[in-house]
Amino acid sequence: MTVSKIDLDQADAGFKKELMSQPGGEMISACFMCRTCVASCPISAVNDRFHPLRIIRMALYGLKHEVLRSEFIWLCSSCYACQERCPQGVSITEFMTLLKNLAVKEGHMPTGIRAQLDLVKGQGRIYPLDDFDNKKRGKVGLPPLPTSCDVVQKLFPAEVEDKGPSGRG
Amino acid sequence: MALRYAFFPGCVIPAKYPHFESATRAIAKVLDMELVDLPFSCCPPTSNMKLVHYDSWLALAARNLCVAEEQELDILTTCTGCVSTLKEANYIMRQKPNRRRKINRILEKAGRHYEGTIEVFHLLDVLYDHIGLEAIEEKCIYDLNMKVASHYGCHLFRPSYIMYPEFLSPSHSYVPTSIDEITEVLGGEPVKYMRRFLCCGYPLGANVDEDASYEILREKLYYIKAAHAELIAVACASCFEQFELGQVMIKKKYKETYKLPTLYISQLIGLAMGIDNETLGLKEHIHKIKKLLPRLQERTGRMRATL
Repeated sequence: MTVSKIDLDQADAGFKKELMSQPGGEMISACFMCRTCVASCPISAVNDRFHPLRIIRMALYGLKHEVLRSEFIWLCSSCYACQERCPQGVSITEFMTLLKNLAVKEGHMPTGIRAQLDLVKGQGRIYPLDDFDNKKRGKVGLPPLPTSCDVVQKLFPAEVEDKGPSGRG
Repeated sequence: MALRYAFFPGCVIPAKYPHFESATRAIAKVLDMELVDLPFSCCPPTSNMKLVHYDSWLALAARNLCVAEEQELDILTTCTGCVSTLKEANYIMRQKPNRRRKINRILEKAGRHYEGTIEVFHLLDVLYDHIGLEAIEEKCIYDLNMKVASHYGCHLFRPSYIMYPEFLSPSHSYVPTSIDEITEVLGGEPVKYMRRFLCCGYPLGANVDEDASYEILREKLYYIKAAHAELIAVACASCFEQFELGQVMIKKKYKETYKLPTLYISQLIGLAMGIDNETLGLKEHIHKIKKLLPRLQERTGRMRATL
């Protein structure tokens, strides 16, 4: 990930406040750039496009557009290694979850996630079971499991209904 | 009296790895645990719903908690993803009154309300804390005699303030030891290796960054091999998939062969208990454990449990 030029006039001054008022973002301004997160991150070790410290800095500078439309926020595997080690108590993984939630709100959702979401909504499970699977389960002495769960649709968020993939998936 | 739990098999295990489930049900029977099947939906996973819409993810998870609460049963899950989702939902529904009110309002649409009276456990927690190492040891008819590398799976124990708050001091995070201690009572030798508690790379696999995913796995496998482990024991279906299929991909991509069999924890215990290979589904694996089986050493004076 390279940011060639940062034009702070284009930055969104309210972004930091917006983030800090939500769960996961409360502590981001405590980051003192020690890079423990980067050193702990198994992704940063093999892919330099992912850099937790840089993402926190970008968010604090108000680079809303650049962060929420980026591919790199989706590289986080949510392993919590950074969060466990942060000496300043920044909930980095929870902050990444918040950023992804906001990115979806703005209409940026990777294709893979959209596909998984449709499965959860349709069958109530991310790996749907059909009668064939239940027959297979029966053969090894396992009880059949429900192949659908209608109640999931009732609880499914209407807000993400029209949010398609960002085309970057 | 038998310990009773609401059994939450998750969605990956019942669909893709039903033999993990049959192994779990078999060892549960041997250890006198009763697993009750209830109409759960998927947890839902932290890798999609949570990233997309946090509150709905919580609501769907809380609906599952309600289903178990209705039966007054604690939940036992076999999947690290499920335990992460359900424990976090339970934590928030108990500790965060504002969010609890919000989520309970969503749950009204399904005619539910969560009171927060139940606990959520991973199979490992139940084996380690409720059943106890001694009781497991008593039921083993074989010594494993194998060097076992444990991989717990990130979401089993992180974030530790939610997953294992009772072990947390302000300056320490927590890492589990249950698989290693269980390996010991099964007569196996737990081995330590570098990067033991780091991510296996699975979440990056599908559509995100496959190169990074396999690079992370390759490093783990390298250190596992360097520690002379002969098999890997996991507590998570996603990690299993990464180790099992990932080794095939790594052979293709880097021309490196590791041939490390990966077993789910209930399969490993089942092996020491003398449960038949069919129930344990050992044939279903790509990297077979067959070569290691002659190493099993019978313990004197132990009776095989009848299933």
